[in-house]
Amino acid sequence: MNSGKSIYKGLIYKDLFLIKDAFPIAALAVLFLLFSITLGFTGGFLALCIMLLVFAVKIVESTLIYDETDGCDSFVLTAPVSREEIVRSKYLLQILLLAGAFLISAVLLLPISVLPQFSGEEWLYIMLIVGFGYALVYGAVVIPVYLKFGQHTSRYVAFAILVVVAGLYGVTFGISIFMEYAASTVPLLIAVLAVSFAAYGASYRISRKIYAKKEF
Amino acid sequence: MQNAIEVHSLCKSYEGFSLKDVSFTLPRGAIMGFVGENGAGKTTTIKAVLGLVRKDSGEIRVLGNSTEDTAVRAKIGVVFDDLHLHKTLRIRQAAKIFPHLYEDWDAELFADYLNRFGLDEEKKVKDLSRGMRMKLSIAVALSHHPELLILDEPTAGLDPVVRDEVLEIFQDFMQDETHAILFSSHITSDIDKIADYLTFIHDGRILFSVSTDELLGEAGILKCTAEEAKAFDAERDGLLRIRKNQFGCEILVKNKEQLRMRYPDAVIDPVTTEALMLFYARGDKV
Repeated sequence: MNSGKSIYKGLIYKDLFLIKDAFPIAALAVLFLLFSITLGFTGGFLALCIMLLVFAVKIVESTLIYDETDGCDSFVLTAPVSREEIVRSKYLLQILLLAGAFLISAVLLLPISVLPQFSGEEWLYIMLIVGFGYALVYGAVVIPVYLKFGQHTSRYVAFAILVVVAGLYGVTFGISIFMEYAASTVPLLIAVLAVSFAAYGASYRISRKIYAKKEF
Repeated sequence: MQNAIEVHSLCKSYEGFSLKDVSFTLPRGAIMGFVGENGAGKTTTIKAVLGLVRKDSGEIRVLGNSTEDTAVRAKIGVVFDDLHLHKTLRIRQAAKIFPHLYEDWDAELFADYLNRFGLDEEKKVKDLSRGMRMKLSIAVALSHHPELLILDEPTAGLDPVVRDEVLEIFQDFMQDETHAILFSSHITSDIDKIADYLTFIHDGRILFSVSTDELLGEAGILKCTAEEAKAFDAERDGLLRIRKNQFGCEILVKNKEQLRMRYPDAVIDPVTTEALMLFYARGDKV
């Protein structure tokens, strides 16, 4: 039997091939935001980071929709691939894409650390970390919802969750301004990340149970 | 030698439909035609065998194990009634995925099948005709050297020439006597061509599962008027099912030779799988 590592590679390839066509659109959006930043709009940094994180979670959501529409799960499950491996590949892909989006964002924020005209804009880093945590929570809720209810119900639920998460992000943004990025932001960041990862872990366990019972 | 598929007392209920006590055995070295009208339960049975639907009760063994065991699935090639691959994938991209899913994936053999079937690697699944999609599905099913093929309407949508070619491929596959095929189809002439066993499912129940030699070789269709039909004794003469039409009636008989000896003037035709289906689906008990 193929090693688990190779199977995940195959399943993630499958998903990446699927959403390949969406990359040029994302690249255009990135270019647009980069352009806005060169015009001195520092808020563009934050918009860019958020867009990359949203893109990362929406990719996994899209693959779940494609899997359902094309009946691909029933095909994959005739191969020597377990249900658990399919679920794990989705969570793995989600983490990889979010980590990628986070790293790209962190690199894009580097000028803040070195260029004098951006001094005092360090709050962007904080909002990036918070954004990562919230994106993780969004994925943690949306993946099991899609696996359980299918795309027709879940797309509305996903939109509602996006609104809630965006609202929470706004509140966090407000709090961080109110606190003037004081030392208390560190515990806040730790709390956000801890809750996000705990939610992600719980979500994985729930998804495994849902998928184990699923019929195709 | 262990059987390729053993299904015992399989039950599965949905709202408005259920599989009731489905049992059959496919020995290695044999092709089993799995027939029945639309909605009879063929696809549900196949999905239960593959572990895609959860059985309510019963036992299913495939190559001696449960299909929950992923190692068993490495030895099975599956063709559904349509290709369940992502529509936006190119064949070339799909070919990069399979080696990661199947340890015994034979890229050269897959390329050979693509060539043989005239499939362009650059084409996306959504741009393939139904026939082409079925060919791709068959190529995928065969390219990891399976021991068992489970085929759900594999020849649907194929023209007669390609169907013949595909049936030949399945017959080639059976050159290895440890191999086996479970073949569900509406195209009963395909079943007649290659099946060693015939399993007939009707309304979620298996009506019979026997060797085709025994069934098609022995059974026959007695043609007579309704008046003449009264002269026969159902039990003694082995009369199974009857269909009435405007010219008289047709009776499915268990053993045409025995009946011919008893009634030398009787008109008795050979039976086909299609005729059997019609007798059981639309005919009446004698």
